[in-house]
Amino acid sequence: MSIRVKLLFWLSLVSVLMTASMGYISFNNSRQLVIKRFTDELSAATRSMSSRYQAAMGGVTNDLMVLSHLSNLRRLYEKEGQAQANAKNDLAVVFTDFMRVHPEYLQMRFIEYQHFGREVVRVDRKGNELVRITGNRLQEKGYYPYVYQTKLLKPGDFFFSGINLKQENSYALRPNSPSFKAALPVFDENNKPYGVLVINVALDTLFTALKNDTARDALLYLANHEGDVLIDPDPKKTFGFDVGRRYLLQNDFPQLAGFFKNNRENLSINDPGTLQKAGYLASFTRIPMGPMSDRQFLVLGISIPYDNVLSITQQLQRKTLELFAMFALMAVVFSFFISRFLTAPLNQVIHAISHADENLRSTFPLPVRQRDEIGLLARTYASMSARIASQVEALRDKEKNLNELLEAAPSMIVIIDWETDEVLFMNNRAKAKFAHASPGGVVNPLQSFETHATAQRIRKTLEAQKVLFDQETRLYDSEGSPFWLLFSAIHTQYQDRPAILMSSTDITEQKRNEQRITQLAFYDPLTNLPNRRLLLDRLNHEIALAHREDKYGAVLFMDLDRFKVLNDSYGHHLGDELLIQVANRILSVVRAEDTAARLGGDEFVVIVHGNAATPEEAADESLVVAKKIMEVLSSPFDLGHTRHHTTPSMGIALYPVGNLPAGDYIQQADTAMYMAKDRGGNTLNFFQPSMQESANKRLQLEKELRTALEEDQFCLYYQPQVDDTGRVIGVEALVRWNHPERGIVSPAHFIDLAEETGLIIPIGSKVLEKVCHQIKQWESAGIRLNHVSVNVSSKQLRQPEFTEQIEDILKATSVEPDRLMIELTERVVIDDLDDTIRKMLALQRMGIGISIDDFGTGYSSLSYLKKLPLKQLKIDQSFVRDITTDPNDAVIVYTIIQMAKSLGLDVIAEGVETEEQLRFLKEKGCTAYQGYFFGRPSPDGGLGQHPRPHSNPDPVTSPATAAGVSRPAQS
Amino acid sequence: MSGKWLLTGTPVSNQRRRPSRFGRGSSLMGCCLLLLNLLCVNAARAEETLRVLTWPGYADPDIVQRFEKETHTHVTVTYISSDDDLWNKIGPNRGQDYDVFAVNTAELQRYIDIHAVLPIDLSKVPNHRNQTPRFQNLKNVTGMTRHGKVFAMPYTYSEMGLIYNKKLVPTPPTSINALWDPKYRGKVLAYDASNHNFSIAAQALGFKDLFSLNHDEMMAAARKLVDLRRNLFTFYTDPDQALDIYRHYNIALVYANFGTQQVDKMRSKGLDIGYVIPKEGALAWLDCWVISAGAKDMNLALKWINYSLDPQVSETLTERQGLANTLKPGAADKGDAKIIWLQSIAHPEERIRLWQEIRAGAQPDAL
Repeated sequence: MSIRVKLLFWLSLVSVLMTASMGYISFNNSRQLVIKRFTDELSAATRSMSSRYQAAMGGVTNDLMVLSHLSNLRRLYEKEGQAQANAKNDLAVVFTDFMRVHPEYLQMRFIEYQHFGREVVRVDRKGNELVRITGNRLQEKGYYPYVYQTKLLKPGDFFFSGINLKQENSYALRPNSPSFKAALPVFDENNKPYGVLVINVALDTLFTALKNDTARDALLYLANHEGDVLIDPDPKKTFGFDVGRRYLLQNDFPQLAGFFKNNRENLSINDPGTLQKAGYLASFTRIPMGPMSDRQFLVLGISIPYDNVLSITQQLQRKTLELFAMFALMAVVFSFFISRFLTAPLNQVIHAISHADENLRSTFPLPVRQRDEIGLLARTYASMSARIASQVEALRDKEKNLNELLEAAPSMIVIIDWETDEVLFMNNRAKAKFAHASPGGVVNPLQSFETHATAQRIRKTLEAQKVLFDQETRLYDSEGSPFWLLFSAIHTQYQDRPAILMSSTDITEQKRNEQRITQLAFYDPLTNLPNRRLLLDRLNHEIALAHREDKYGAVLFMDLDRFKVLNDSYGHHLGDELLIQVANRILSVVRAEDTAARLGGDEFVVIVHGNAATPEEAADESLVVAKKIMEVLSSPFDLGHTRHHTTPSMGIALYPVGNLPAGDYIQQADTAMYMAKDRGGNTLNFFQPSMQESANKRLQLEKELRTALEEDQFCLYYQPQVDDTGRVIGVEALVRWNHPERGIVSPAHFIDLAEETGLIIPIGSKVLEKVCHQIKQWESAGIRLNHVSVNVSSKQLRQPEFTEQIEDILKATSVEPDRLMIELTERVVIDDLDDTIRKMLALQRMGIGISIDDFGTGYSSLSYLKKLPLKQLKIDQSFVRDITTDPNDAVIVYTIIQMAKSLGLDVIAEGVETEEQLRFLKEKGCTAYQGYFFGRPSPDGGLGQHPRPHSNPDPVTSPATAAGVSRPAQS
Repeated sequence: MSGKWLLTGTPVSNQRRRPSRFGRGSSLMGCCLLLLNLLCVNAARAEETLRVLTWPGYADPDIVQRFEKETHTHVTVTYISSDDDLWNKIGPNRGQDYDVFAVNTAELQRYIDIHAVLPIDLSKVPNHRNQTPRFQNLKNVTGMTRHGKVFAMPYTYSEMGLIYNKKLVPTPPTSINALWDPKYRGKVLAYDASNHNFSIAAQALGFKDLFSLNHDEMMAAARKLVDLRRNLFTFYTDPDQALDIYRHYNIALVYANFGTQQVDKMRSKGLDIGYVIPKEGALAWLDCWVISAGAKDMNLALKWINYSLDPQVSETLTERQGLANTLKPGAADKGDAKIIWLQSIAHPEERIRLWQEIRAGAQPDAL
């Protein structure tokens, strides 16, 4: 709300309130005055009526006084006889005259105290006539109060009776007319009371006159000294005491209760009334009667209803309201002009200020000449705006300088909105950089961070620390090329928005230089392999890691046989070329975690990452790496115009051993290498003799295996498979190595190595060929088996040409494919399920049966069982072994059998060794068995030339030879 | 005992004032409420109910409660305000609406006439034996019997003796004629009433039947009353007024229209007065219990009557109302004091007419 409106409001309010209260006060005062005036008027009226009544009484007493001095009276008691009679007559005439003059006089009497208070002269008013009562009609009144009480009065005192309606006579002088008696004693010459003058005064005329004199809206009351109502607005109440009912004035006006007891002359009552009872104004006055005024008096009162009084004040009220409205309006108008007058210069100031330019200078005039607070305000503003203008100027200069500084700064300065990432400011350097970085133009460098998650880190740090100094980060430009930035960031405010200020320098060049220096320092410039320094550093690192993780690794030391000869013969140029190619070939075969380094000359070192749990494993791993290197180096090198063969010599040292320093391991490997070189090169040697031995053994075994293949030292044993009746339905072919020195060697001793070396493939082919030949042999001998099972290893199966290979063998030997049963372990099957299924389907199409070996040990899943084209499930011997003792195994066996049946597969239990196991299996529903209980593997499968049903297996021999051999070797 | 007299209403016959425990203005309202209350209570009970009609003060609630407790009955009390009121309640239905009511001997006669009351078997009112000798032979009590049957049981009475100022009257007056004694001219207070005053005048004149005067006797009594008037200081209309005048003027004799009640009041103000029953006998009203012709349970009605003669009940009446009871000898029982029980008056209107003349101050020859 504007000051002007406020001013107008408050001024108006105050003026109106003041006017209202003045109006109210004056109205109230006037009203009080009106009431007072009315009260006074009432009081005056009652007093006037009282005077009038008293005047009337005074008239009566005057008459009595005059009468008491009549000579006639004296004659009444002075003389007897005629004179007295005349005196009576005269008095009667006087009485009659008086009564003629005073129509309110009902009766006039003279009563003597003698003769029992006999009436002497009496004139009654009967209707309109005045009648003198004489003779025996005169009565004796001695016992009446107005007689016996008057007798006691002092001279000059009057007697007044109470006012009532009743008449003492047997006939009423004027029925139902209020009247009273006034009496005056008459004394003789001795001042002895002689008689009494009595006037009966009718009050109805007086009362009527009083009533008529009362204002129309006023009510008249008259009561005797006890409060009995004589005149009342309700005529029924008047003179109630005469008929035995009392109506007291003080009942209607409780305030009068005290008035009747004390001697107060007047009483005014202002009773505003209540909701139930109307208010009134009243005034009462006491009219004394005669000498016994303390006992006898009248109370006269007039009351006016409040409404009548207030009818006058209503007019006043209306007038007051009109005046109030007028004054209030005037006050508002006045307030309006005052407020306008007072606020005009203020508005001028506001107008001028609100139209001020950015330097707060206004084109509109300010009331600076005003000699009050507003003038002061205007002057203050004027000087203030001048000051501010100059300060703004200064600030602008500073800002300009700052901007120039920002532009001139060697850094890229970017300000980014904290919330929206909007770029708020960029100096030209930054624009150039980031415009280049983004094909669309300027880009927010922070958004480039997002890919690094660095942005989040920066934000978090800024949130906590507000500043971030000298951070390096790598960004990528739109082409994916990295570039480096060194930046500082500040969480700040820019244009009232939370923002990040980043100052950054492109340090890509610097970084590149650093890299180059590192390369030079740690890398062999020829091959780019780590040099000795870096090698030692890495090795130290690897050793520490191996120590911590309790792992073992190896160091390979290698040099090229006869490198010196090459170098000398063809020159360094070719030597260097060879070294580069050798380095590249080494890098192509070592694992990512391994490190290949060049020590100098033709010496290379490879750190085999410590990943092995035991030194032996580490040796194995290093051996693999070494062999790979040897293999890769075995093919000729193309050295420009010449092809060159080279062979390496290698020494291997295992780490960690104790707390040897890195150099020692290199030294050991070097030593081992020289030992190898001593043996003619193109070989490797372990530093530790035991390791050397084991490795050598394996090398020996491998060598022997190759020889065995060449010399066909492998032979096959067959174990029979029988049905419930004990009839041999098939055999399982099991490979054996007939070693020239060690005799028959179990596959357990060579299969793993065969797998490792890949010899398993040629061995497998050999076995299949032998099996087929045997089948053919048996068939020509008349022994026909349902099938011969052959185990096929993973590597065999994975050969792309595996099925063709089998097909070729079958064709070559002309064996019916359904004679052959391929056994695959569950692990092999699920190794590459798609490939397996594809091959199985191919085998199935040929008619070859497929059996799952060791069923139950792997991940037997109904889903793949259903998918696979199987013929047979072979229950693993581990279940069969404990079938009688372990209820779980019994359940598993039962489940497998039931499952196989529901899938329509044959089921065979292997490892059956006791009759009990057989019985159990039979109970569970198994129909085919294999195990020592039926026959051990033998070159002829126990069939000889004439295979016959196996009916009575040898219980004594079976278990004796079972240990370790029952598990058929995978061929 | 101020406030015991009913100051409003038309004067009842026999000119006596009934005591009221219920004050002046509120008595009627109080009675109505009580009546309503009692009726309601009655309606709620199935017990035997005794319907009592009587003057205020004759059967106060505590007295009634005791009776109810003792007899295990219920009592409804209805109050009357005047003889006429009583007549209106009993007469038209011949007492069918009430079992017991109180009535004075003079009034009783007309109820016997219409057979509205039943005779009383005295043997069923054992407390009767405890009454003073005056009431032992009820046949001697005027108006109690008819054809040898007792119709009423006296309960309370008030005789109208003479009060004298011991200072002015050294020797207690003996005769009613003391009121006419010239010695006391202008010092006598008489009561402003026609009926008793004529009876007194008749007494003074030695007439035999005070309540039924022939014309000559009436006129003689009237003249006698003029004489009485001439000997008076003035007439009074209520005991308070009499007391007031007595204290302000020289008064020697007062005709005690209100009997012992009035005497007690004056004595309580410390006035040195004496009270005598004139040898001609004092007029007296006697209130009795009678059994209504409509009484439902005669025995219960008799029990109530007997109960009212219980010393405690009768004493309570005397104590509270200043009225004499029938068990304890009162002023009227001294020596051979004679009581003249009020009887119904022949030609009351004639007495009233004459009295108005006399009261206005008529001379003897003007009557």
